[in-house]
Amino acid sequence: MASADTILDVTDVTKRFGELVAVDDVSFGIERGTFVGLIGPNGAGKSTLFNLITGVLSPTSGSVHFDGEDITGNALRKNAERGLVRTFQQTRVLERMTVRENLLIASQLTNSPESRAQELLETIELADKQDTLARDLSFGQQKLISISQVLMLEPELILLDEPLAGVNPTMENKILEIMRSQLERGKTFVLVEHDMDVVMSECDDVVVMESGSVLTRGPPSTVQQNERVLEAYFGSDDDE
Amino acid sequence: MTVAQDTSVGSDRDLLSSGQAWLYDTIVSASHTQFVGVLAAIVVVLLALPLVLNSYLVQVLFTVFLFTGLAFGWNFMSGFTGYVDFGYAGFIGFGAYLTVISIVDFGFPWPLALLTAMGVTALVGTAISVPMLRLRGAYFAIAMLAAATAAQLLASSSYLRPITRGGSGISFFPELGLTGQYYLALTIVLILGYVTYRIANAPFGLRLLAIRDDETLAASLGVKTVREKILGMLLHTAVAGLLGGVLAFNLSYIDPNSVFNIQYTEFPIVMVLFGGLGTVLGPVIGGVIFVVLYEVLWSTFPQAYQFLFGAAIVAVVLFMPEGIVEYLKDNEYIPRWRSL
Amino acid sequence: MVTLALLTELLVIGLFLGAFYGLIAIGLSLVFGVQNVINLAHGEFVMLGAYAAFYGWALLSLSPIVSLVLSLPLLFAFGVFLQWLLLERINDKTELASLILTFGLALSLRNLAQFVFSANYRSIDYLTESVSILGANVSLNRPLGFGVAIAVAAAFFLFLRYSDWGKAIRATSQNPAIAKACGINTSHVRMVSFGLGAATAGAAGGIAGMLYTIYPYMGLQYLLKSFVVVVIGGLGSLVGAAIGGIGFGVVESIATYQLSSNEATMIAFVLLVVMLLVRPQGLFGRSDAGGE
Repeated sequence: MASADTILDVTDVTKRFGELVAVDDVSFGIERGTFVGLIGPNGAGKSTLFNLITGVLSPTSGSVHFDGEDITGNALRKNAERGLVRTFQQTRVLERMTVRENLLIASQLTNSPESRAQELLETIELADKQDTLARDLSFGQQKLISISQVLMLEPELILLDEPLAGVNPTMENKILEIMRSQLERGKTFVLVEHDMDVVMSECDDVVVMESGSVLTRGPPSTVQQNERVLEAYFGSDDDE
Repeated sequence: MTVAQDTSVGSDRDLLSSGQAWLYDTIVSASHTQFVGVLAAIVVVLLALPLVLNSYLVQVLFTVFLFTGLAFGWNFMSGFTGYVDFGYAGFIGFGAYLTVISIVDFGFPWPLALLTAMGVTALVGTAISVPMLRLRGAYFAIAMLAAATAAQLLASSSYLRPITRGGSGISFFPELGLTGQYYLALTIVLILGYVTYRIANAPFGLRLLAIRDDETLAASLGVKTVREKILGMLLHTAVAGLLGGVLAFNLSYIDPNSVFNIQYTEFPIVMVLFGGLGTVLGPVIGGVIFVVLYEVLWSTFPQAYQFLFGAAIVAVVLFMPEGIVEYLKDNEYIPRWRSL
Repeated sequence: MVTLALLTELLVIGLFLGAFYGLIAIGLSLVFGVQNVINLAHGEFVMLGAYAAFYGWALLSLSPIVSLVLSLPLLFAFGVFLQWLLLERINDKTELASLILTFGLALSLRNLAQFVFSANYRSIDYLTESVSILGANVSLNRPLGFGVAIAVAAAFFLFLRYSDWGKAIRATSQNPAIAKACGINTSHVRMVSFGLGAATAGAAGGIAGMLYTIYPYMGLQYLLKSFVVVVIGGLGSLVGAAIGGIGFGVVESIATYQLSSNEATMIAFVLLVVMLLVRPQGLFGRSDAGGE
């Protein structure tokens, strides 16, 4: 699905760890400005796929193109410089540094880091806590910090790995608001999430993975009805 | 310049004892001029001391300056980036040999010898260490220890005897007397302190600290980690090379066992550990406490002081793993400034 | 001129030496495998074992082998104690913390030994009659040392393979979280494995006491050498440590003959660095080593 507006193109990407095939021949494209949800049961390979796209891991075979350029196997840092950023499943912040420093560390690519940081601090409502050490903040606040960090880089494509996990509804709304305002500016988001309500209501497009492969892909309404998806997730009568 | 009120979880300044708050408030409300004034006063005193003290004490102070300087050097890399160099003595010994050989065999005047030692140690030392920077924590530490031991063995090797004089060592006459060495060491320490202060407050320092905190995260946020580590390493090795030469002046005789001695690795590590990794005051406070502790233990328990030392290291790791300065900052005895 | 006889002699010596190094290395490797700690005080356990053998010999006229049997449980208990007292407290802290802690511990033990035993060189004069093995002339204590090393190592491997504790240790080594979830007391496992490390090192120390000079700082050289062995064999791999040890012994034996002991050790360290750069996980180690 390579059109001029494809910002990310994953082609036949496979990752093997010895005998284990974590990601199996995955291909899809992401259009600029869309909000894509990547869902699937645990162990489906979603985080591994993120790692392959962003350069934490190298694919055993296949390629990844970002904005037309081949970035397969490029390092995290290089991708960040190109405008492809990510957050991590286990929320990571620089614990021994203040909130402000946590944002300023991502100043490599911005013209006016101080003002951008101030802007973001206000958006996440931590301006009054900017000199607090990150480790002294709540889990939800740390999530906000990690999202703001990647936004400091003024990226085009943002991959978020379970940004809403373990977060209370108020915080969740805040995070979604930040994403919506970025989407309005033409940014692209790919989200790995387990919160189905959010995925189905917010995403333009949903990719479903299972056991390393793409099970199906389409708008939320379609995916929701898909039998195989329901089976993959809700083998029994669980309600997520 | 006052720091913003700290509203982090668990802090309530009203509950602080008056002693704690006094120190904190004094620092916060002091003006820039006052800081400089205090510093200048200390420097003046230190400059005057050799005129009044006997040579034993001058030698002790020289040793304090030397080791504090080494602590600053070690701090640049290992304190800031968290890449622990267990082989610092290797660079120091290398610098010592370079200095002495350039004086004895090539007739360099001592300032040139020191600068050469500094430059060559920085370049060669960093070049050798760069491949090892790909290694994680403990592996890097071991690799550096191995490299330093190899360097020592190289210096005592019979194959290099023509250059290094092997195990017999090299005796020479340093142009600089003890007082001269004292002032040289003091000047170097002051410069290093200032450089550390500038770095700590600059984006460069922040990037180094980020590498220590979470290198992968830093890389994902655009930090050129390889470049920063190399820069840190250059500073680290340059200081070792320079102070290795200064050490040689003080010893006036060098041989593999004396200048590659593991204490030149151990002591700076302990000092920075005591004082605080990646801080400005850390090497100084750690250095002073270290030497004081050392002298006190040595004179009180001449037999057991090294054992007590090892025990002290263990205690510090258990109770103040981040060092004294961090402890003071965490408990709000002093403000959480990067300058400190 | 390298004749077959010479080569055989060097191999035999190397084999004996290698078993000794291997014994030291497996303890270091075990501790790393179980709790990701590189015990910089490992050499000191060797030293303590050597002194135990010495005093058993000097004061009680015990053969070093007998002393060894007595000191093994003592060193094991000491190891357990140290783990409980110190290392457990930093279990969740960074690698740097454990490196420096064990470093401080090493410093303490070394100097405590110097304080208690004095810095004088000691040695044990035991079974020094020459015997010919495969054409090599060695003193009898060497094949004896070899035998002891093999015996202790064998007991070690058997214990890990077949006993309940051994299984618990291996499980914790592979995945502490899951081991814990299965009901294994990982804290106890760490204590037992650290004790085992101390005990095996102490056994090697008994051998060392029999063969070499004993002095308080003797542990340092064994620490460095066992690093080389463990890194080349693979940190965390016991088989690697054992094989690496033997290989190292042989290479050192040959290199010492050809060059000198200094150069041989230097080559060892250069090999260490090269290995760390080329294949940080060593020959048999886990692949989570090194790099990012």
